Amino acid sequence: MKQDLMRRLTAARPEHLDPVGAVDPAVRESELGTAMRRDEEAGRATEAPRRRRLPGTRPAWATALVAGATAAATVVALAIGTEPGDGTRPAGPGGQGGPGGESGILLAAASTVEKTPITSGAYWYVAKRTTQLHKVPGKDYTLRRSHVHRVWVAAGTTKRWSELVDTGARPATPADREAWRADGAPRSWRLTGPMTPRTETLLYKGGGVIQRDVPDGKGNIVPLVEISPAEVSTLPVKPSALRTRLLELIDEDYNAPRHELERMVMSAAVDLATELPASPELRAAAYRLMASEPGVRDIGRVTDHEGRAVDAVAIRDRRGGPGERRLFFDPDTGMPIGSESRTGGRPTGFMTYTAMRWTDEPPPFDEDMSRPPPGQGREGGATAPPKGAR
Amino acid sequence: MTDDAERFTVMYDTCRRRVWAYAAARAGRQVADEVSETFTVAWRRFGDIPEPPLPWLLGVARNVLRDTVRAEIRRASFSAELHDWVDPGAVTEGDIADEVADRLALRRALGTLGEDDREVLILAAWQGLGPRDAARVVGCTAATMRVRLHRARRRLAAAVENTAAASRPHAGSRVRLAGEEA
Repeated sequence: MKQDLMRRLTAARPEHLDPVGAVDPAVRESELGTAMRRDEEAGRATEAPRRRRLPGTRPAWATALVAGATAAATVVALAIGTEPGDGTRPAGPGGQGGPGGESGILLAAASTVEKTPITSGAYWYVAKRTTQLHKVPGKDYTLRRSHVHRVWVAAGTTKRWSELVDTGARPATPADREAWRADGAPRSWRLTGPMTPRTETLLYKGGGVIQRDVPDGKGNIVPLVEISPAEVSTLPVKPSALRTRLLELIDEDYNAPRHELERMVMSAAVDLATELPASPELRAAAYRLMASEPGVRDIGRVTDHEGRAVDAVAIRDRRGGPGERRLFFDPDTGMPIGSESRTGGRPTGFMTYTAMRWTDEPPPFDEDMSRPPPGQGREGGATAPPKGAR
Repeated sequence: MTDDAERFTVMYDTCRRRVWAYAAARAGRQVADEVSETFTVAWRRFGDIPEPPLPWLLGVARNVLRDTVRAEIRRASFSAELHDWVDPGAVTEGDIADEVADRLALRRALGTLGEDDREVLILAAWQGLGPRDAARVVGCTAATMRVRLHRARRRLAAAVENTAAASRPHAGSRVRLAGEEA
């Protein structure tokens, strides 16, 4: 019966995923050319010197570029040299952490956050609301679509519970609300776009809980760089030693060239600074480490999407794309309170931490569940078990 | 062409389609950049690649995907991919009706599983990898892979039953959803 199920599954493989078959000759030529030419190109590429770049390795941003050195240099100039106009308002001086500089905001936040009293509890609990902005095709308004993601980690273990809730979509601004009303105030929208190659339906009311993971079913939402929560308490609190240790952990986990590993240190440090159960001292060390990594830039005091005054730091896209991520810190406590993704100088989405603390209250569920987001699949949604099924 | 380039090309021709199929099954079909990046890493590490190269390559593809495609985006693109998998029109014509229904049921059930379960099932059933090779891709021991496969299979069986019980042929409810009043 087991074999039978697997045979049936094999038979159910969609035809286009057949692992045997010819590759389009043009694709083949381009991919082989790209793969084997890269090293040579790297030698020619130029970039403002970075302290930690290893001799002979490609600069981080070049990975994403098939074009030559000239195009690459232009992209970098754009990413570093311009401060695009946007909805957030600079309200105070911020040091310019350019190439080779240090982020004054992160250093200041480190000094503040390390004074936070040490707290404890049975679970480390992080809740965040992520919001993506979607322009409605053919209409004159934009939607804010939100998810709430909650994670519990049992103290000193790798046991992790997580929950993802689709909380629905709303017109993004008062002006968008007017345009939405004029459109007949629809409660669902069909979208297409780069993130949704086909179509996706957004619902005003949202889809409720769409995913729960408990420790036995492994977490569905993987962090970029996996530092187990149990490992966190063993990390050194001196920035240089922390960097060395993070690099070791990444190297164990990843099959990638050295310069890729170097770049991932930043991701690991951001995870540590923003979501993992770091002690105040360790969080401060992660900030200090981040402050001197390449691609970090101070923005200053701005008003975030929740109307809060926050200290913002920009982190350039690791692959040299046009995107960047901005991290927001609470000026009073130095704690991370949100972030924003931007592409081409405009926000594409943002995230707010609604909770980040130790608690004794256990997660309110103990079974896995998973169902497609609303409107996904013609019949797929209707077949999802109603709740808590496995 | 140097020897290395020649051997690399042979490896590319043997494995490229499989690497693409693996990436597309995990993150939707717009994965050309990730596949290209995988072979770029492979060229740089060519001397270190074990024989057979496929599990190693899939492991790199897995890391590249994880690194470049954030989980939420991957989730959205997979949903779009799943939409195609369970589209009755996508099944090859000429198949007999029962087989078609069974394939759709299995794909649908696969879509309700967590990403980890789905991954090991896809490696085993769609890539044809044994537990040892699948373990190399994922970076665990063969023993752990056997346990994960066993659990995933059990959950797939349950999901097939659940979805069979819940689905009615030509159910119209989801089609109406787009115009539905909340």
